[in-house]
Amino acid sequence: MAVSDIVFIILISIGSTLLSEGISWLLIYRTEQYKRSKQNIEKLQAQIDKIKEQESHTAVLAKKGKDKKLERAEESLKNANKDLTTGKMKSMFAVAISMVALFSYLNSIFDGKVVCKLPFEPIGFLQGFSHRNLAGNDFTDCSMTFIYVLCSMGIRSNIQMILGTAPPKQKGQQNPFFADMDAKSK
Amino acid sequence: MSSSDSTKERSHLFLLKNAFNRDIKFTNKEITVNVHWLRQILGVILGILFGMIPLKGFISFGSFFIANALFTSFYYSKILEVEDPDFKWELFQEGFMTSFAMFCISWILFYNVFHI
Repeated sequence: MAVSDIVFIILISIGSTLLSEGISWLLIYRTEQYKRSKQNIEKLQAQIDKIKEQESHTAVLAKKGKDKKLERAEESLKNANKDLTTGKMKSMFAVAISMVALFSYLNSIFDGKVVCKLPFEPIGFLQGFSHRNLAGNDFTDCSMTFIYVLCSMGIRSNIQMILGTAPPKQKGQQNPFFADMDAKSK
Repeated sequence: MSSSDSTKERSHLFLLKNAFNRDIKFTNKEITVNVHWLRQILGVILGILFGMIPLKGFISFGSFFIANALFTSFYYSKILEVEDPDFKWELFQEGFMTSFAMFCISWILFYNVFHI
């Protein structure tokens, strides 16, 4: 157990993210088709935002026409998103395979090894990650898997954010606290 | 939001440097970016702090969640004065899990550096 193990895992995680983004760039991001569909999505999103903004200012009578327009725009946005995802398939496959390979490599290095001590005791299902392949009942012992999962949650998405390759977010999640209010105002 | 604003893209670093500058108008997308990065920074700082103290157990999770939620909602409602409830909710969720993961990583790392 040493700090160098944690740092090693963190570095591996950063490295693998950069590598997988590199592969994705080679296979997808630099292609004209991807750029075009991304632009298309942004345009549609802006259009929808604009219609929604106008809608809040217009009277109820004028709303019907606007609603149709909005529906159509949302429909084409959905299609555009689907196109983008199918275009990404190929590289996602390549990346997934290399990630599995990397993970099994890490597993073989850190097999049964306590990487670090946790400052807390994980609850229930998390123990499956944090105490994976470890002997003993001290649940503050932490295995590589847990750190690796945390890294891929935190570092990976931040790097994607910096590189500007984060997957587009799915809109339309409603605020549960204000859902009622929305329904009433319509 | 004028059309020139939405076409011109400003870098994340620029946005972050001016996050507390009230003279600059942000688009919704830029506000999201700012909230995301401020949250990550807060997560890492809290992680380092808690790891050095060391704060252990679920009290530090609690403190992190409260600090994170308070800071973010203070930022967008008092400093940026966002009013739309839907957008507020979106901002409230933005980057939450990532910042939590960053917090855990730095907390565990610094706890191990100083106390193990």
